[in-house]
Amino acid sequence: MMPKARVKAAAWAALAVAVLAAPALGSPVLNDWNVRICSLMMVALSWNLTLNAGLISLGHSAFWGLGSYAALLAANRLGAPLPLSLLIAALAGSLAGMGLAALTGNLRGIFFAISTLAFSEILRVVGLMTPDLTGGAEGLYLTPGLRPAPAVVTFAVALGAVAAVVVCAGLALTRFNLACRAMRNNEDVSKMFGINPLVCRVQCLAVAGGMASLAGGLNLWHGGFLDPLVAFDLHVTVLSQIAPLLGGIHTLVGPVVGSVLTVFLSEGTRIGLGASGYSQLVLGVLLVVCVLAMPSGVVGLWRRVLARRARP
Amino acid sequence: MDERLQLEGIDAGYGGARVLEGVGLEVGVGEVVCLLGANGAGKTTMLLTIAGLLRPSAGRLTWAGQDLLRVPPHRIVEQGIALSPEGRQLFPNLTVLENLQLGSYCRHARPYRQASLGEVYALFPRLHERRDQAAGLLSGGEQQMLAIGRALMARPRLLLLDEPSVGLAPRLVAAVFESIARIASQGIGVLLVEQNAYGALAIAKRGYVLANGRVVTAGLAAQLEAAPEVQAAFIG
Repeated sequence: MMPKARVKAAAWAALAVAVLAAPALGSPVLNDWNVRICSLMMVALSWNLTLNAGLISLGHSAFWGLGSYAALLAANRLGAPLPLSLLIAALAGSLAGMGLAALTGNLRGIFFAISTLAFSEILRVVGLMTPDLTGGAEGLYLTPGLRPAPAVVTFAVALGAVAAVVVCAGLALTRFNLACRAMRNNEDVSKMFGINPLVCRVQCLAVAGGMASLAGGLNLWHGGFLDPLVAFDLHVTVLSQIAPLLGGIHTLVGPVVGSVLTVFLSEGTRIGLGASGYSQLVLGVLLVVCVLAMPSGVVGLWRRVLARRARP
Repeated sequence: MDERLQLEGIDAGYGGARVLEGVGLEVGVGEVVCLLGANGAGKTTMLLTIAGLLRPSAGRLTWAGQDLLRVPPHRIVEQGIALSPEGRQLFPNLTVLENLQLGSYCRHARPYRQASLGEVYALFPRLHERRDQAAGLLSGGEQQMLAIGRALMARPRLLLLDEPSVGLAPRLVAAVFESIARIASQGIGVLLVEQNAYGALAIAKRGYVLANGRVVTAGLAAQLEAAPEVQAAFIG
């Protein structure tokens, strides 16, 4: 087992180095892809964390948008530099996650999912109705003088993705992870063994919310512009689910591989077919085919292939 | 403090439907007490009430002199009461070992995890052989062993077992009853809900017979074996 574990660790380390080193090349296209992949990776890992506890979130754009606005306001109003604004964004997401967990109480399955969707929509509408704070429908720009070089932002996003992977890998070794999985399997029985589902949900959404908000905040520094429609775009919610589904849910590699694939597929169809409506259609069909052909994602397919090879 | 479970005048049910009416019961240290009754008599409801998953509308429920009625389910296990629920209710996607580890999730059991694992594996060597398998892939008998083992991992002073023999081959039934007797001999109180009346009475010291949510007969196991209520309910 030991050599295999070492190979795995080496592969992860190589991937991390590649992602972190890429901004140094200074290619705008590469930077853009890097930012898209890495920020998607963070929300995908975050969504996978909530799913691991049996919580199906349709509200990840809420965390994303909240993080974006927190970072924007921290920078514009308080003059916070990039790291401080990101810390504030992550904290805002954590608090929102804890609040959401407390508010939804013991709602499960579809009921929890719908309330998260509502949470995201409420934030979007509130954003539109408070132009003094959010700029309303006109939107707000990040004060230009504050923006560091694109490579710096790209590096920060890459660092965020690496941190998200490390956090998820660390959590996988803890009692907390076991409690989450038990709750997903059978909540009533998990209670009988001393797991307080409310505490477990609050902790889970605190981590997941912080992670998704951090991604939103990082994306703001990349894009520089925000309005409530952009910030609380349902697209983020959808992508945060597609990536883990494509890669393989309930695994660590799944959301990572899935994020890369999702961005490749979406960019590939866009470049190949132009910005016409067809590219979206083809992307949709491709995604449906992938999910149908690989119900447990790329990771599941890979494991099946390995298992078939093992027995001749 | 004497570790004794006492129920007095318990009324409980689901929504408007009342299942238990004025039920009383006692279990002491290291004794096996069985709870018999036909389907729908209220046996499982009784265990769920003790485990805190169901709130009774009236009555007293105490453990070692302490009121349990306002204690939430995740704290009941901290008090030393563990339930092996009806239908086993394992965590199917978790491995055997992970299921057992979850059994010792509560604070007071955590420091003893390794020791408890050793004890459970000694009681059910089969679980050790299959420790890395998903619980959902075990056979019925193995699942039952795991359900009991998981409850033991919580280091209970009182073990609630809901129909441990259901769906098992006769040879396994005997083995399960034997392990229950062994558990009780270590000083753990056992409240055993069973359909298999004679198997349960053979290892129990005392028993209660429930019918339509009331205790109709109670007494020493030897007396119950001959009681007409038991004969009527289980032999026909």
